[in-house]
Amino acid sequence: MSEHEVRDAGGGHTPSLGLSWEGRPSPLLIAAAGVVDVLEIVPDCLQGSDGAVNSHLLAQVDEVAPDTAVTYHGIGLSIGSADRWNEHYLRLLDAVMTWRMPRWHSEHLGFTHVEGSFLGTMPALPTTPEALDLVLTRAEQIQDAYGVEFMLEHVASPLPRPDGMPASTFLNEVSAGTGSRMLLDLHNLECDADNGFVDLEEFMDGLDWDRVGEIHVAGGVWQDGWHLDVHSGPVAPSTSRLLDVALERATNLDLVVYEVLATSVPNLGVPAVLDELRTLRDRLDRTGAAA
Amino acid sequence: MTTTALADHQRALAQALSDPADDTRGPPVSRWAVRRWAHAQLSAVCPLTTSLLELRGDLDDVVADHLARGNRPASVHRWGRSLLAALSEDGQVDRTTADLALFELASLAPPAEHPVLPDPWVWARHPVEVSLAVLAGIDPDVLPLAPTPFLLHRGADGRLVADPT
Repeated sequence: MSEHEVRDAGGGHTPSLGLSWEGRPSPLLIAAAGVVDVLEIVPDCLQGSDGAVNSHLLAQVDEVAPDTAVTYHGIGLSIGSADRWNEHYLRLLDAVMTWRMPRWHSEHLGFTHVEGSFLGTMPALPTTPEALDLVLTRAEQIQDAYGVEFMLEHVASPLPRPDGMPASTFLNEVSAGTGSRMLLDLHNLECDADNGFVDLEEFMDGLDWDRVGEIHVAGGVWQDGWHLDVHSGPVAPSTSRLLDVALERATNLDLVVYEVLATSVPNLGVPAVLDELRTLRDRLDRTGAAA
Repeated sequence: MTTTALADHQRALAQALSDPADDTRGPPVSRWAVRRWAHAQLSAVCPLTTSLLELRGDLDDVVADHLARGNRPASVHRWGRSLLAALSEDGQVDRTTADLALFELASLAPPAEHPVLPDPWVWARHPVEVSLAVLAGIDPDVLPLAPTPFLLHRGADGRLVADPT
């Protein structure tokens, strides 16, 4: 069990607004720097051709958003791989931690590597006791190494998974065991519910909401009858309704992040991303005022 | 080899993701997503060569072939370089594509991984002209030949140099 304790933000405050940042495109960073409170940087996406963090991308953040707080959100740790995690991700994390200390950092309850081979996708970790033990052991190592809160996020995936405990129970257990709050991705939740992996009502009723520290929202796509979490579009009305419920319940929530893929920004347009952020800001402000 | 239930599950999923014939619930759409991601990622790190392949309608097949090779590294830059090396070496593509792939690889690879260049490496058009045409959506094979071919080589400072013959 970690010595970290769930931080009590006291409730009634307005969560910060964040945007995911994959190192490009520059016009988005320039436009969003004055709009968001937090840049959620994806260390994996800052790699240069030599495999190390591209220092020019960090310098650009320093120039454009010198006073904006950061969090780090990894996609490559593979904390759930049965054999070993991806050590290279930790070297990227070392580099960005040296650059700027984040409010906290986060990763996914999934795996991207099997016996050393990269899958090209991130299946969800089964919600079994074996997987829980594995995650708690590794999360404790990470918290000890970096000394900041380490949140874990439930993954949406169309791939089958063995029966286990309910997803909400698994997340509660992970958060209780690590002592860090959890990252709740509402679009992931919707995808898993639409694809038949999660009972949404049971999840919402079963989740220990005071352990939610961060929320993600995003837009996805439908393909062959599957709802996929792609971060390619605006936030759907159904996701916004879930956010309203979450904002009422999550009393220790500190951050809401709009996730958008760098490759999707040219299609969406920077103004559309800013519109999403402003809409979210209005929603958060209303919640704070009502509390 | 780890033999827990979790390890067995992960091996089974890895197998399902790599087997085009697996039509159980979930793997086919996941393989589609993996191909779309691969298409986007390789286009980001090998923009020249993938633009030419896209222009000719070959990119989807090339990406599928590259995925099928397996042993994919997590670093998309490294994976992109392995695509360029394969295209420049394996004789599966035409001379223009192979040359462009090697030119892009020679331009992007860190010094420790610089590829061996043909000697002499003769180009019928200047490589920058070829590159600009590709990025403008023009197949470089339709460009007029240069009055004199170019010899492409790596100069003493490590940069690529195209000298008229």
